[in-house]
Amino acid sequence: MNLTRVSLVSMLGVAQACAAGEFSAPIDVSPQLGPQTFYHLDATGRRNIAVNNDTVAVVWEDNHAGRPDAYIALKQFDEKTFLSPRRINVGAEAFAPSVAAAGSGFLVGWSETDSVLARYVDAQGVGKPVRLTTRSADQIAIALLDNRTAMAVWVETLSSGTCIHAARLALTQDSITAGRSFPVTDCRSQRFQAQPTLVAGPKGILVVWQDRSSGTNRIYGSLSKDAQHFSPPVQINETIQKSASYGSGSSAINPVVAQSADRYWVLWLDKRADRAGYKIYGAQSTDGLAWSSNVPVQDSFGDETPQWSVSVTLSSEGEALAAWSDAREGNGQDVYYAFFRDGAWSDNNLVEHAAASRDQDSPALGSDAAGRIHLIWRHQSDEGTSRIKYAVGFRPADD
Amino acid sequence: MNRTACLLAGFVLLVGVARADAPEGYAFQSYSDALRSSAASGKPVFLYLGRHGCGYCAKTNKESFSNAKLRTQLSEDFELAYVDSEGNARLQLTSGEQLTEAALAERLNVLGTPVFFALEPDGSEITRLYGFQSADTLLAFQEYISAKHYKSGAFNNFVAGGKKSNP
Repeated sequence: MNLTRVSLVSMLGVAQACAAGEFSAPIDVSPQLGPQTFYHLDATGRRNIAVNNDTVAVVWEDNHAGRPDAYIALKQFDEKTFLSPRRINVGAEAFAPSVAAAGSGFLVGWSETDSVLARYVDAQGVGKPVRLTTRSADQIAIALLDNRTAMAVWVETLSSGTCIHAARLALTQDSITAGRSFPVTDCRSQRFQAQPTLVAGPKGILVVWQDRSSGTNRIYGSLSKDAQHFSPPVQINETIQKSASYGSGSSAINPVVAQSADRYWVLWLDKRADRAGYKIYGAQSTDGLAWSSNVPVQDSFGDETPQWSVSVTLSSEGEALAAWSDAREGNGQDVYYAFFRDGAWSDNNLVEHAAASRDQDSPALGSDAAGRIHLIWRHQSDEGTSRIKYAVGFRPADD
Repeated sequence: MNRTACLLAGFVLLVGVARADAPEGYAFQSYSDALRSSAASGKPVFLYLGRHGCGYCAKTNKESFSNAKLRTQLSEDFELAYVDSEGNARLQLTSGEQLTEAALAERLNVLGTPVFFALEPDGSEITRLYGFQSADTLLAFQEYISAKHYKSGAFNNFVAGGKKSNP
C-alpha cells in the first residue's frame, strides 16, 4: 500500500468515524449552581426529554431553592439557549418529573406529596395541575395517544405492595381532564410492580414495567388496543437461574421503550453477569405480545464495567438508538451510544462532549421527524458542581 | 400426587428457594435513619446492600447472619442499615441530597450483591466487602472496624496477619 493510498484510507476512516459519532457542542439546560445543588434526571422510562414539532423540553429535579423541586426548560430548535427553567410542582417537595409531547406543547407529570400530578406546559405558560389519584403514588410516565389525548401510568402503593395504574388524559387547550384510573394488570399475582413506562402506536399501547413477585425483578409488557383493556403480562427478559438452592435468578430493572412503524423495542439493565454489574439487554416485538430473544447492547469493550441509565429512541429511519453511561475508560462515567442496524447493535460510540474526568451520566434521548437525535445528560465538573447538558446529533451515517 | 403431597411440595418449594431480604433478628434501619443514629451514637454504620433474589445474599443470611455471636457483635458495635440495590424508596444522604436506593447503589458503583460497607457517621466509606462472607469473616470485619484497625492497614492484611495489626 503506498503512502497516498494509506492517507486516503485514513481520511475516509476519519470521515466515517466523525459521521457516525457527531453530536453538536453541548449547551447548558440548567444553570451551574453551587456544589450543594443536586440535579437528577430520573424519570421512569427515562422520559426526561421530549420533542414536539420544533421545540424540545427537558424536565429534571433539583434542590437549588432549598428542597427538591421539578423544573422544565424549553428550547426552539433555532434558538441557541433554553428558556429559563420553570418550576412545575405546586408547593411541596417534588421528584422524578417526566415529559411527553402533547398538543402544541408538553404534558409533564411528577411526584409530589405522596401522589402523582400532571399539567400542560408550553412556551406561553402552564396549565392547572391535576392530581391523578388520591392514593399513595410515584413514578409517572405519559405518552400521547392522539393530538388531544394521552395516557399516564404510575405506581400506586397498596397494603400488599405496589401496582401500576393508568388513566387517560384529555387535553383541552391548556387544561387536563383525567379519566378514571385502573390497574394495568392483576395486582395480586404481581405485587411489586415498579418503573412503568409506555409507548403508543399503530399496534396499540404497550406498557412495560418491572416486578419482583417471582423473587427477583423481571421485565413485563402488556398491550392495549383500546386504552382500557390490557393483555396478560408477558415476561420480556430472560431470567438466568444460577443456583438451585439460593436466590431467584438474575434480575432486570429500569425498562425503556420505543416504537418504530413496525416494531416495539424494550431495553433494560440486566444483572446476569456475575461481577460486572448491570449490562444492557434488549428485545423487539412486531406485535407487542411475542418477544425476540434478549440481545446485549454494549460491545465487548464494555464487558468489565457496569452500564447505567439506558435510554432508547428511534431515528427517522426507524432504527433503535440507545444511549447510556459507563466507566469503561476508568475515570468516571461517560455517555455512549449504539444503534441497531442490519439486525445487530453497532459498536459502542463515545459521545465526545459527554466524556470527562468526572461523571457524565444519566443520559436521556429524544428524536424528531427530521432525524435529529436530542441528548441530555448530567455533567459533573471537576469543581464538584453539576448541571444538565444538551446536544443534538443526526442519524449515524451508513458504514 | 395427592393433595397432602402437593401442599408439601409447595412448602418445600417456598422454603427451598431462599430469597434475599434483610436478615431476621437484626435491627436494620433505613440508610437515612442509620446515619442519623450513627451521628448521635458515634458508632459506625454497617451497611448491607442486598437485592431481592440475590443468591449470595440468601446464602449469607442463612449461613452467616444466623450466627448468634455475629448478631450480638454487629448489633452492639454498629448502626445497621439495609438498602435494596434495586429499590425505589428515597433516602437522604448526609449532604442533604435525596435519591432512591437504586441510585445510591449506582453512586457506590456496586457491581454485584451482597456488599457490606462500613461507613463513618458522616456517610463516608471506610471499606467494603463484596459477595458471600462467612460468619468468621464478618466477625473479623466487625473487629477490624470497631478497633479502628483500618487506620493501619487493609482488611485482607488484617486477616492474613492473624488480626494483630495495631490501630
